Amino acid sequence: MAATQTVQQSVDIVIVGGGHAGLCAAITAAGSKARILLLEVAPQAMRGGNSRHTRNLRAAHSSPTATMGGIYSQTEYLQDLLKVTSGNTNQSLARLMIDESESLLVWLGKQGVAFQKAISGSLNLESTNAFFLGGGKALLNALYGKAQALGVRVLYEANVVCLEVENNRFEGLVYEHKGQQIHLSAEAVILTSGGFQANKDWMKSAWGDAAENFLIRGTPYNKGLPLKEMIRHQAKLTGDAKQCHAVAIDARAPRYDGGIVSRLDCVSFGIVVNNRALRFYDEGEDYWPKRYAIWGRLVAQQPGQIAFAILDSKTEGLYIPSLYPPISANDISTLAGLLEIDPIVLNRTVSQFNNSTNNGLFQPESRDGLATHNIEPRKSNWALPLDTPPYLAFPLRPGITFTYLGLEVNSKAMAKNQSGHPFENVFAAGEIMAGNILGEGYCAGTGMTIGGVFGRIAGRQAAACL
Amino acid sequence: MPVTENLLAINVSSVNPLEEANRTLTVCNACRYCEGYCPVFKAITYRRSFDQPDLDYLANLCHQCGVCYQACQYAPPHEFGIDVPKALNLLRTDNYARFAWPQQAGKLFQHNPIWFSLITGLCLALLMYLSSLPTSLGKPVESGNFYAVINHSVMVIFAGLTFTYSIVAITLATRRYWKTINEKSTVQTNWTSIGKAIRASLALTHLSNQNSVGCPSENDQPSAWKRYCHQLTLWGFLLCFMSTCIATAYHYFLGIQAPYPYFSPPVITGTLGGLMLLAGTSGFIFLKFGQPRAKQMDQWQLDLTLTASLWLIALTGLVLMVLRETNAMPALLVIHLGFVFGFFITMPYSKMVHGLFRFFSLVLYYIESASSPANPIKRQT
Repeated sequence: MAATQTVQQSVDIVIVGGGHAGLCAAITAAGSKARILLLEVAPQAMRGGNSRHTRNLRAAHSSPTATMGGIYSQTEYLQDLLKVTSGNTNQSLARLMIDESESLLVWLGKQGVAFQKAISGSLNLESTNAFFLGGGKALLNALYGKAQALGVRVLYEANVVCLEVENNRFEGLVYEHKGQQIHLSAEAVILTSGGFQANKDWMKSAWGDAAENFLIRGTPYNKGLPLKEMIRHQAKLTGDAKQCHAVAIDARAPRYDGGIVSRLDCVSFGIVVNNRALRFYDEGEDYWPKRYAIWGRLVAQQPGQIAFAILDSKTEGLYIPSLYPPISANDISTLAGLLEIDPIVLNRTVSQFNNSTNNGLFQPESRDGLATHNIEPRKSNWALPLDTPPYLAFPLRPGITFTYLGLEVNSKAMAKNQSGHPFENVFAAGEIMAGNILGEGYCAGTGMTIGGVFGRIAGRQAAACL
Repeated sequence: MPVTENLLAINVSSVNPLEEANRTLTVCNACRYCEGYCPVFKAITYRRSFDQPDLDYLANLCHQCGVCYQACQYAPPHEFGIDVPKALNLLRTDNYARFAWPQQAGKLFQHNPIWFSLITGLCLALLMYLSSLPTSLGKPVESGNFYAVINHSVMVIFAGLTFTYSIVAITLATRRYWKTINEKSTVQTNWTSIGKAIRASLALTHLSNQNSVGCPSENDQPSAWKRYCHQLTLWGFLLCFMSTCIATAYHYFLGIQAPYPYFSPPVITGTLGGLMLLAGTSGFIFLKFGQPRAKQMDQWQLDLTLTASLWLIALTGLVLMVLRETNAMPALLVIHLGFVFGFFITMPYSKMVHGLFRFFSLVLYYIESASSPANPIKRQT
């Protein structure tokens, strides 16, 4: 690479990362007639980062919208956020995000994004989340079309390798494109390049060897290089390198890019054992959608970072068909053999669990309180004995959606330096700064709200500093 | 570990139409992002797995607009390589031969559809012309009188036999198809569902931009052009058919003989229909040749054959009408009838089957969507 000649370019605003946040920033800034270049590291077919795998965004609304029933007040939204993050959020930024979430929805519609009615019975999300018709890739297609129609130049397979920041000011960057190194100077930079979950070395430095066994649910392109560059320039960080949106997913999913289909939602109807064939957490603590985000971490803490959800045939049909068929057997010992775990221990675990179940009304739709007695850990709801063959098993691994360690920003989406003052012309939106809002935990659809709201703010502010 | 086996099955696309459709729709059923697009994706959610009749039904329910492909997070180069329109297209092609009557004819036709329909059609027309020679030879061709070229009773016999064969064969194929897909249905076929299916077919509801989707063209932005072309073709075809029916009624019930004046109902409907057909099929040809993706579809040959033969029928029909009082009429008449016969004799094996198979798929869809709970399984993101 050293031998290649460096080409010089200049634009007004450069945006690093072509997902939802970057596109919202680009479209907003394009209103100002600035020359805008959007650098996307992925090839065109795989563009858009994790947004390609998204399905909805969470938005407050004071009256029913075309696709969302009821109302979802800003107060409720904030309460939900405080609950999942255990208060580990920047409240003023969170309020700002929630305040702008309703107008974001209207704005996206104007840019050509189509929404669909929330699917009936999608567990209380019908009044809180707006679903993109066709999913995140359809949203991206609409936004790319709009941005390009407004004159935003988009370059694919452009990998930013160096950011130049001097005297608290961004001067330019270097990116690689088709074997060429290009030096680009710009008046402002908007970083929307996501987290670093696809950077195995970085993940390992936080998690140790356990990270070897993590599956990355989203794009393989989020390696966190721009974030690393900002760390080199003494940017102030928020969040912890170990914090991330981590879900328990099917262990058979591909290493990267498995997306939604790797999701299993059967867990709360059975028991979960680790590779020692022992249970380790209350499987029925709450509805799966309220608990799936903690199970990623729970599985990550087990030996070998693997676990097995074990069910019987009584509850088949209560959950979405899985991508990979369940591993099934007519008795527990055979099942243990297929899973390569100790059959004696698994038999004991299952019979202990079965003996601790109580008679009562099983109600899959609500927290039925059908709990176990005299067993540790207990199962608080849906505790049916496993007694009807064939027995089914799904292997589980931690599936990482995105990491939370990121750039601390102010209400203008400006990244801050170590002393807490903002850089003059460095803006950030999306997963790279999601840690400001999400200190821990996750609330379905919040990632896209963060990207959209702060993307628009960043676009507006970057255009204003020209 | 069984783990690896399953992984391979999902990642590896198959050349077997049923296997590939099954693999594809299994991914769709675990994803469901496209649920808002069209009946295919709603019908998927009514099932946990797919057997052969399910797959045949879903394949024919598809309009191949391509919007789900553009929206698909698992489309190539993703390792799952999901392409719903392509997988269902592959299975539809298989269906047109598998349900055909007689089956061998279906397979033979697919071998080389363009030549098959051209040659059979022109042969029939020539044969008809030759059969008429004993009576027509030596007689002067009256201006615009087709029956002076081809004897009326000869034309009736040839057209009658061709048309009857074509109707019988396509009815048998459709009956076989309907019995297969409807086998498991527990609900009686009802007029409400049939009514809804008729409405959706004639309005092309599922190609519409009701969800501001439209059919994407080669780029990823939605476009309404395919729907316009389809509507022109469908209604143009129906008008031409109506024109023939009116003319038949004129002949037998009113005793009025052809040629009919330019401003008579049969000529007006025929001309309007011909123009619409010509416009619609021209648009289709333009769209298809502009899209590299269209050529990668298994049905490319079948698509092209139907579009081209309708285009040729419309064109020669219009030219014939304009030049019916010139010396070119006899040759034009034979050529036009050749295309018409070629179209009808191959209709039970051509893409015309799509019209009926999709219609009956829609009937089943409306039956099951009325009886199935909207979505029995809870889902969130």
